[in-house]
Amino acid sequence: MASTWVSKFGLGLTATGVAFVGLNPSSASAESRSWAVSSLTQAVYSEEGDCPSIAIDQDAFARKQLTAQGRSLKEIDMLMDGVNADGTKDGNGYGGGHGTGKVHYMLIDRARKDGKPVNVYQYPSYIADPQVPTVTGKHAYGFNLDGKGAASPNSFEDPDTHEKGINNQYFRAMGCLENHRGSMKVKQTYWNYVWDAVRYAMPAWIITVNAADLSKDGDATVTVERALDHVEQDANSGTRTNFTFRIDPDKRFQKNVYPAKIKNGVVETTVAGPFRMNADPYVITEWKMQQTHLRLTMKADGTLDGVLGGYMPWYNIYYAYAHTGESGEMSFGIDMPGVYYNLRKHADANPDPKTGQNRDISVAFRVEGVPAFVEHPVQAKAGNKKISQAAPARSPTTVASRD
Amino acid sequence: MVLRWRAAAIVALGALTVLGSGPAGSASEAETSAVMGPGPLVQRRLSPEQYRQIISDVFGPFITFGGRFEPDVREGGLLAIGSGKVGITAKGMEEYDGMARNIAGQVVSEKNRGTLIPCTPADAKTADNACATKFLGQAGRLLFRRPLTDGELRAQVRVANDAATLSKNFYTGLGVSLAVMLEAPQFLFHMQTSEPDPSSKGQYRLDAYSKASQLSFFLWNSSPDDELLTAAEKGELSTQKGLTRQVDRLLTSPRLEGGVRAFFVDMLGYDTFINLSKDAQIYPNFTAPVTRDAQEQTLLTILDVVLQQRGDYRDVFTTRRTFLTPVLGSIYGVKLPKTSPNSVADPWRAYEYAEGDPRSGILTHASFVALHSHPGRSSPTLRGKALRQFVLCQRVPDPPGNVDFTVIQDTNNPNFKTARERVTAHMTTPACAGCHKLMDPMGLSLENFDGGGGFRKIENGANIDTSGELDGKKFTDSVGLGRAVHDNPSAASCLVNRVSTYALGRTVTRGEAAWVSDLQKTFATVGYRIPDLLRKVALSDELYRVSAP
Repeated sequence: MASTWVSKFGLGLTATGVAFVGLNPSSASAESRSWAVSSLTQAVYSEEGDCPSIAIDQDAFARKQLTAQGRSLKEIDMLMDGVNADGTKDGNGYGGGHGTGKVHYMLIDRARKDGKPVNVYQYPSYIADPQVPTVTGKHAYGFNLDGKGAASPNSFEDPDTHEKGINNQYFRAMGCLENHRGSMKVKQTYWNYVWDAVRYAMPAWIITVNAADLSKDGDATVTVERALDHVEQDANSGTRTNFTFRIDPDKRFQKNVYPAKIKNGVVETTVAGPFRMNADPYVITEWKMQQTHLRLTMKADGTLDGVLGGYMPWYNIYYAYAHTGESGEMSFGIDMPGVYYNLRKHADANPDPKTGQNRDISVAFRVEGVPAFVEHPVQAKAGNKKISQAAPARSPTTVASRD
Repeated sequence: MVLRWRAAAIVALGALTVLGSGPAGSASEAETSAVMGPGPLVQRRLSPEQYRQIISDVFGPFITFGGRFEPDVREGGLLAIGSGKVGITAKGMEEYDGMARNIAGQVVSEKNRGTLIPCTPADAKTADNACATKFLGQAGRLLFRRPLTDGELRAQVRVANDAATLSKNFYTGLGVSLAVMLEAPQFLFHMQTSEPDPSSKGQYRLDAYSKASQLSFFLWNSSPDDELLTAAEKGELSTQKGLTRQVDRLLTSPRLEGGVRAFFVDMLGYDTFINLSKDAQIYPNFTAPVTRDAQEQTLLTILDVVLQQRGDYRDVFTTRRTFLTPVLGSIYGVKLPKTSPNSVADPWRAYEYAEGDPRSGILTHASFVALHSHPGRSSPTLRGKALRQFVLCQRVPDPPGNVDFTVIQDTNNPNFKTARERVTAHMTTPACAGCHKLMDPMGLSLENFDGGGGFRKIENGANIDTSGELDGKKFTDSVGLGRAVHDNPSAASCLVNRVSTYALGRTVTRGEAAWVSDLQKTFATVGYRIPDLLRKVALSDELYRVSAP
């Protein structure tokens, strides 16, 4: 069965939220289909030879930082092993993971401000650029955001469509970290972990496609909005399908509507616009993008798979990593100042008028969704009752249409 | 007074006794014993739900439970009958012991003693005969479902006093004595006693307290309350007027819902839900909350039809009105928004499917189509068998041991894309065809529902044919099946048979067959309304007549 989740009631897009300027989505829309975002990961295309070097292990990372602080090899060995000057062991050696030993504090406070140790995650520019390697390959997923096509500096080529001029400097900046490597088949570890950790604890993101006939080529609109409800876990630790989500009535950030076209089951936005969503603080508290593009495949099994791209404030991305502190740095093998410097160096849009430093960086995320029902606030008032209030009266709700 | 101590003896021996079930291989269940007169006294072990309910009734719903109950045994189609054929194993006794100590500890705890113990000892560091006697006498009456004899009460008080003296704590002593009562066969079993029937020379009947228990467990699935015990004590249950007053009181109590719920849990075999598992790769939406909610959906639907609307029992097979949660909505493809905050369970909500929707009646609920399927595929055969067994009270023989299920099990065979094609191929084996004809034609009409309860129209790319037949009546889909069951005389007669044997706690005797036959007629006369049937049963002399000891 393909479409218990297809609803053909008329849409009320203009009734709630902020419609995209110039759109009149209800005029042509007769069919609507919604998906709950089940996975959001960085869209990466790692290939052989696209990086000068890849990440180092945690012990080596710690030793490298201690060496950079001017410590001798013997001193580093003693610190790492938890050996005191008199030869006794204090049990606070570096365990390769989280801990409270001296080494951990030396790593956290490895930045220097006015000659004094300060927290490196708060003051990443107070330590020398560790020169974390960046992607030198030519392929990446994403969109031609600046409209320059192949002439766009530092741009990539889409590995599937071979479109040139793909702007995705976030991939260039981070793609050589070991846990940021992957493909469309093997998801990048960091984002996969992060999204998996937060999706049950944050309001669901809902994508809705509207068109006169979703099975045919033609005009459409894509809406991304936030629900009040979290996604539910299924028996495979995946995202439950066909769950019903109430759309958050808060109009400030939660509705993003884009005109689009459907071709061969792929819906792609045709006019880029701003994107604002609240996410979980563990990911990015306030997700903002400019020049937002979406390319989404409505798959035969009912799921959704595609790419979300645009320009994003790079400091927001840095903070998403840095707020996890030493724990995140060690667990994920991420050199935080390296992230800071790489994102800053590769930011490619929205220059600060005073300094000329770009404030946004081009990004691309793979977005996957499972079929969902959507209830807008006005609709939510009607219908079902608690059993204690249930009267013999008939038909509080009717079933969705079936194929 | 004649006491039957068989169960007590079984407990003492720590032995498990499971008597054999009825004859296998018959096309209909043989539920009538050969006895011409009334049946014997039965000593039934409390079901887990009854145990919990009694403790909740006597001490409060805040009492928590630990431990595990021994599995029940189904006989004559009901666990209620099997409960009269089981004892307690040594391991089971250990569990009861642990539960008893735990419960007693909570009752005498500093937190609860002020509420649950009706007196205060003169000195909490030593025994207090008067206070112990008062508490144990009151609690014992409710737990044993009759007043304790003087000897029993003296023994219980002695235990309390001895333990208090040893522990130098009155409440510790009281807890020990209470735990002893909670482990006693008089509590763990419905201990029936009989007395000569003064109105029929040579005949016997349940004594007043056993009568009260028979009534209470039948209608409330719990022990008699104080008012019912008092009525028994005063002899009111021996008069038609007194009995009628109590029956009507029990039937109009909100607690009737618990009794009716317990009956259908038993009749529909929901004890098997504990073994239900689904292949997560095939049915990822079928999670533990779905298993829990699926049972409740059907029970709420039944209670709505038979109690809230006082409707025709047979309508449970056709009603499009049901109750859902958002999690069930995801199984059924129904838009049903949450109303509670995240991580908070949603209240049940009434929902009605549109006219003509395949989800019509309880046979289309996940509690039926998923429960009676395999972990990774649907099963027209299991569904048809369950319909015969649980709804129509007909027994289908088990398959022989040498059956080749290869064709049935291979859902990827391109030559047999649908379940209908697979069972049709399977039925070419003559040895299989006979029994499958009893089950598959009904089960195939439910093939729109996959093994996880979801809806489908296509299987392996082929359209699903949901035509079927039940006892000569043909239909095209699940809606037609529901109507066929509704109109099938066996559905109503099965309900009456189950209600009567559930109430008795045993199969009916040949001598009681006329009573059951009369109940069948009454049930039809009252429009198949279950409360009226329950009243008729509860006021029947047959419910309280027993054979000579």
